[in-house]
Amino acid sequence: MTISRRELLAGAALLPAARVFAWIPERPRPRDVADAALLAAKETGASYADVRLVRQRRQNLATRDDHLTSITDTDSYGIGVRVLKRGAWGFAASPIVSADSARALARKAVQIADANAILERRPVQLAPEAPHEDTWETPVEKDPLRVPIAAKVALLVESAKAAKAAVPQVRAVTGFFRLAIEEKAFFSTEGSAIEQMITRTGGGYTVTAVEEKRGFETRRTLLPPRGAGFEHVERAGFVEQAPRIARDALEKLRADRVQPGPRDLVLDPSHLWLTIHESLGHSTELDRVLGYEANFAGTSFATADQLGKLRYGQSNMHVTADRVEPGGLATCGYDDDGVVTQRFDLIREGVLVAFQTVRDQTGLPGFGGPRSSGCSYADSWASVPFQRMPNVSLMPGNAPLTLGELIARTDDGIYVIGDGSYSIDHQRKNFQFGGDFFWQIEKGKLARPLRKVAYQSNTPAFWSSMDAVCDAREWRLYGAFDDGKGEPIQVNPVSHGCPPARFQKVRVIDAGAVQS
Amino acid sequence: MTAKEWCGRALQAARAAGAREAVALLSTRREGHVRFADNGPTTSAEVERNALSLSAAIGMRHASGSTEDLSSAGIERLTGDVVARARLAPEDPEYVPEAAPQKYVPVAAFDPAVASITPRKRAEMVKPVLDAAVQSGLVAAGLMRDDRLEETRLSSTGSSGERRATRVELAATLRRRDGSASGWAGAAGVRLSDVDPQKVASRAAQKALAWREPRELAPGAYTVVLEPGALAALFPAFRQSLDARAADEGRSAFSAPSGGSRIGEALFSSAVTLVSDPQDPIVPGTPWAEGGLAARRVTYVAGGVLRELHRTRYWANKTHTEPTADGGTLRLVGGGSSLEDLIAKADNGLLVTRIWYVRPLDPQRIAVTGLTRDATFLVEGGRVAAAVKNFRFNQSLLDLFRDVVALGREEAVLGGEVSGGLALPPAVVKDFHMSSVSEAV
Repeated sequence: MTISRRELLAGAALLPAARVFAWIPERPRPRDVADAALLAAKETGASYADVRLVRQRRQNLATRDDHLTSITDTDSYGIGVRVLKRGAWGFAASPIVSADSARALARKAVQIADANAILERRPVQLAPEAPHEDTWETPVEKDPLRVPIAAKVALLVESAKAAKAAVPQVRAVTGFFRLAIEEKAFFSTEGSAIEQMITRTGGGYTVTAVEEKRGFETRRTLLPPRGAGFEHVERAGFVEQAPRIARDALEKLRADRVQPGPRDLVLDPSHLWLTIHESLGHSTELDRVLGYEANFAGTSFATADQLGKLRYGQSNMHVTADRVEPGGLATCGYDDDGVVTQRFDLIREGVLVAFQTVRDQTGLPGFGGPRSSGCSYADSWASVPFQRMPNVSLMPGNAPLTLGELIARTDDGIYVIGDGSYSIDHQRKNFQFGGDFFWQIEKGKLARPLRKVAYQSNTPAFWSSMDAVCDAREWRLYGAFDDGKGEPIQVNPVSHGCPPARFQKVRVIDAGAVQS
Repeated sequence: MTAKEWCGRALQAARAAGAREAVALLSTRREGHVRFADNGPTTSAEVERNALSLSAAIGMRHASGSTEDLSSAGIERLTGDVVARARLAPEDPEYVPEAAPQKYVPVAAFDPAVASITPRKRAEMVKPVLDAAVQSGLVAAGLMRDDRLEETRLSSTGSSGERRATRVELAATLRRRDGSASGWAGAAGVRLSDVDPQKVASRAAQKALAWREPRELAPGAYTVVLEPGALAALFPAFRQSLDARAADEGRSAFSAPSGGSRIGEALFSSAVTLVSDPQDPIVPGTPWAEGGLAARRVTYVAGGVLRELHRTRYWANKTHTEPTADGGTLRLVGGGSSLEDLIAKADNGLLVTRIWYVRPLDPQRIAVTGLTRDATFLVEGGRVAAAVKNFRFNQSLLDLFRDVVALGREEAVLGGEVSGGLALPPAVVKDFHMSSVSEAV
């Protein structure tokens, strides 16, 4: 059966006349390559197909003390074709980007979908989504890949020198930059034609202080990676803060170990983001809830029948999901199902009100629909799109409250800054978190540093113990490049915003004692 | 054009652009998988990947890069960019030039049956797992994957190496539909015959069916029998700590209090011997190591004595020692005992079938935290007596390897968070510290 391009794209409006971005080559034209695959998929019986041409350019740079130790640039460009035939998915991908290659990939993807016919299955259906023709781009002031190497190295090396000059016990300062630009062109048999350019920038350094009798401790910069250009790093004040970070490392090394027991915790946004990620972000992914991650990342203590009923916390707890927050690592215009991105509530007044979803979950318990919430992502042209976490954030409290006021109102507690050790069970309930730096709070003041602090709790008990949330003035966005999930494993960049918050009587352990 | 000719072309272009030294690595890979859940396939793919990596140096300045564009223009762009970056990079005082020409050992790591696998064959390997789940009233989720890799490495100093490798894995988690029990099993290897889908399915089903009404035990120190898959989850943190420079600089659990490292000390149980061998028949490694050195057999621990730590060429030069140059894999040498023999030896304790989310807790003692998952059992009188709820543990790995009582027969292991080849036996370990109960199923 031969299908004309007109039939293939019936209902689609005219495509943008000119290419917007520069990284994906002009020749062969992405549209022509995609059309070849979409036509071949239709001709071989696919009911739906999409094509992603993705080019990712990355630079990883590492320093130690006063010198560069490695600089590696990778340039990855290829095409992934996904088809749906008789309710089964097939996917094929190649770094050879041409019309012939695209046709072959479409046929291979259909062959894969056909082969899986011997396996019983629930025929896949897709939630409706209108075709989109659009472009989207991360707002960037300074392209991170065009900043001179010497300038990047200087930021880290000068920081290391400042740290070592301030504290002789500093034995090593290791620094890094991770810079990435991802350009993708998405085309589907439904008529979507979307081009996006997503820029992400991250960097920092770790200071290690050593004293013979005490051993060693580290302290890190707290700059989170962002969906931004190199201006994000340049404004961080790396060099200026190096002496303080070095002094912190030594103070941490000389600090008393924590006394275990139930303690009130004031958690800084530089720390709390990771607790949000692990306990709230992952437990509200519908694929986990439905058992699709049971073999690896796990399931969830939240079940589909608890939607609208399950209490995570008190009425002061409001959690949103989005892929639109400026600077967010998961922020973009469209997901990899071609769904326009959005912001939505996950937890309202402490109660679960929605799961994160993708198109092929329509009809399944907990989907909530009618549209997908736009959480599909593939980490390269060679990866199959599946459900990934959007930016998940704790909203600020309504009453005026600054961090200083919160500490002043805390009689006896621990203020935790930065992320450290983190671990949570495969249903996202029992967790244990460390941090990067800890203060003993006594009578409303930061009394002295502590070391070897970790806390254990479980998700509903922990969030129900949140008795104070700072206001919007203290809300900060943190995040990570590499959230791992899926099989074969893929990584997802994701951000989490929150204000400082206080949690009552959480079980604190001495991480330096095995019997803890 | 052959792979070697591609690499030669890149080296020639790098030299023409001004590089004094260059190394090219061409990788050609095909990865396939069928992922399944709710007793049916979810995603399924076949992906071709080619990548040309190039490292170039001009004196002590160096840079590297890679591209998947193997056209003449693509190679020219890569070499031009890498050499330009090397020229702009500051001098690296720790840079060590590529090793003199090396002869690489042959590594048997390739099975044509994996290399030529079809989508149909993948589906046929998954089917017994789904059938077993349905027959047992369980729900299966898991992954069958295969990987074919060909690599050619060529350096401007004259070293030339080629390798071919295949890998196949099948893992499945079978759960009761009401979410009250879960059992995991997996198999991995170089050869298609290393993976028996029926065996994987029946082991996972057996665990899920046996893990009925788990008891809640108090946290505390237990003797544990760790299945190889459980032990595997603890290895990345241990492997990372095997670093000579960190030890010599006082930044490691292997730092001696008076300076230097603890090499030569009997730190572990005499049952513990840890080696890396590029020609390991279960987990073959890469024939070349850092800087093009020929990979060789390295014994890190022998009879409980720390014999070696991983040492880069720079640190070896600085400390007047030899670089370790291992092939990237590790084997904890086991005995001949089966898992059942070990359970009998353990007498009383816990059988841990899988471990999850292990993260460093205290690097001074290589303490980690993590959880047991999927199915954990009480062992009484040398037999599996009852199902128990899962635990979070906080455990020093120095203590764990000191407290090894017995090891069984090693096998290639897999696990979602484990990278690099590992061959591990089941192990009996005393005084494993469970910190709190996990309700997770």
